[in-house]
Amino acid sequence: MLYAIFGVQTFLQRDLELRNLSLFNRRKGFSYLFQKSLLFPFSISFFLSQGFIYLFLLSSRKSSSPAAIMSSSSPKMITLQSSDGETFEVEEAVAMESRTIKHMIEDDCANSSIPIPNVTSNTLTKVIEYCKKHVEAKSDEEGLKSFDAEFMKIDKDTLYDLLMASNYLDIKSLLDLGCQTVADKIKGKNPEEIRKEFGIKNDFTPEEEEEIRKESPWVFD
Amino acid sequence: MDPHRRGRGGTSRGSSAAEFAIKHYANPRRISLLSSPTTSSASAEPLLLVEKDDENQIPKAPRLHSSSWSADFVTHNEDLLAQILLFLPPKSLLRFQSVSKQWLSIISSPGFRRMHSRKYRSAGSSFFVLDSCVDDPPLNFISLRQEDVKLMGTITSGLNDFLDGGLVLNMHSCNGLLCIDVSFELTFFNEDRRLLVYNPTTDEYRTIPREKSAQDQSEGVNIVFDPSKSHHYILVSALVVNEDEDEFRFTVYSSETGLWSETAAKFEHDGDRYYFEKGAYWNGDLHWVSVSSGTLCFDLDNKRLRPVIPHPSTPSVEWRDICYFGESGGDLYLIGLDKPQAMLWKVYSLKRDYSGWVVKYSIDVASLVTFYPSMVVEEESNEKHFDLHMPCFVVDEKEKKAMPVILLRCKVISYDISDMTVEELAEIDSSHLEHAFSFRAPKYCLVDAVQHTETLACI
Repeated sequence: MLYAIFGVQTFLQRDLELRNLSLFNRRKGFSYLFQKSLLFPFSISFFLSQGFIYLFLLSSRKSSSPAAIMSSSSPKMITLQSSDGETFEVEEAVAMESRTIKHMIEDDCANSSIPIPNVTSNTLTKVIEYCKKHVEAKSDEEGLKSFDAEFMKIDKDTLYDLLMASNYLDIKSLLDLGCQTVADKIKGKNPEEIRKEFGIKNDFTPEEEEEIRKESPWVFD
Repeated sequence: MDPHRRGRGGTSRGSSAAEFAIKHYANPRRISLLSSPTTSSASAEPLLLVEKDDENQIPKAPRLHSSSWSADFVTHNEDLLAQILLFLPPKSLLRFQSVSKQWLSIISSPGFRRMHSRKYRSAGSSFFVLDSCVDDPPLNFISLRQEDVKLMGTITSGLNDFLDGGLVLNMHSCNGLLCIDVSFELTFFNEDRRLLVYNPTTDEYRTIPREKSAQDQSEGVNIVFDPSKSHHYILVSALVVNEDEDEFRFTVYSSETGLWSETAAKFEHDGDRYYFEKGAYWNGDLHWVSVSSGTLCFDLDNKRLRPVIPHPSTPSVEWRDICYFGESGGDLYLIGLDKPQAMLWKVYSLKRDYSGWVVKYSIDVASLVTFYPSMVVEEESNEKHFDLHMPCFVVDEKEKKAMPVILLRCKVISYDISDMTVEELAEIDSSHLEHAFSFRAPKYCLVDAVQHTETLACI
């Protein structure tokens, strides 16, 4: 619109110039002086009015822009539904920590709520808590480390559920954290303790097991 | 062709722990050099006897919370199980191979082993040390961490048994894989010389075929193994071209192809010996050092040599000696002395663009000398010099520590230069020294130590 005003302005200006030219070319007489004196205030007032219109538009635009900014920054909320029917509203950025959900959003399948069939509400709460913290405090490495350490002080079942959830939802940092925690818990054990821990049946014959032990005896001391 | 498994079995063999010349202390003594020096101690420290075939019980793990994990979890979530296993150290993984057939198939699969060797990083705090004395077993070891001493002892004993009767001509390691050039002399005229690539963690070895001519001309074979780049390893061999031993050519073996190939790289040195038997792998290149001339770099991607990088300039005319040259914690380090009694040793690290060396650390030797006065030896020419060697220099980036490991005549110490403390790690049995050729003990010098890290890499 400004351009339109400017365009009109130049046109009028040109018009005035042409007129001035023609006036100038004519013999200078009273008529010329009269017309010049008339045109001059006319042009001034014209330009002034342009200025006022421009300023008005600028201010109105300025006043409208904060509203525009606010409307674009209000976070988009994503609804997640756990296996037991509970719904959770999370910010899009938090939900995008999960690559699975991220792909769903990008493929535009996430308009209504996203069902997470294999994750219960308890586990989903913890997952959301983790993702939220990691989005909020992204640059605070020390703070995240202590948060992670506290976060992992949970019982076995919750840890397992978290592992499965982070595997399904493809949240790499949570998966790595969980795996590291389990690894640290089991690394000093012997095979019999491992079997007890995970409830695994020993499907080796004693001879087979002895064969394997003989291959690397130095790790069994 | 599958790699061979050396197979140690459970039966006892000839060598026992007592034969090691380097005997680690059970309780290493920590001394702060900043406090006033006490009189030199020869206190009887209990020596850690490294025994094999021990029936030690594994300490019982503390009980976890009550509920037992569902039996289905692990068996039905194989990919999740593999994820967890990737975080375990190699020693635990080898032990867990006997848990169940599923675990065995996961852990021993080449794909898993490659992923694990790419991911697993351990601080290199153990070193194999080549023993040049004929009466001793060929290999010894130094370990900076107490918990590794026993494990290293067992591995080293086993390796010694394997090399029994052989003369180790050269040994080189890179990220956990060893390359050993050994000669089993059958008779005086009949030599069985072999080039082996060995993984001490998994006890697998492979004999690398080599032409007789290459064998005779070989100045040194180095192994390059970078799991972050590829699961294949490369051997680089420097060969002399002429009688005068000042011209060299280089051949490269790739485990991917199983063949040696010639490179266009040729090198002629200006009279100064380059230590081709001990290259340092850093920044994608292999580096060799000479005492006076400089550092030679072999670009592994393009298979060509870079221009020689001159040593850092020193106030005196020439370098006297290279104290240490090697890679640690992501940087290439050079420690040299420019005069025989320099009290402050500068540790240089090479800039990534190869434009020069910068001083990264300074080792204060003065306080060390005050504590160990026997370090300084006066020769007939009234010239004093230091009687020591530095086979290893360990830098831990995470903990911001730099620790040279110094071999004095009878002791192995690690010197933490950031807080000026010395830890006496081990004692050296120098009873065989009178038989050794060199009157300049200690026995192990720059080229004799190779770093050991655990890896599950396939050979």
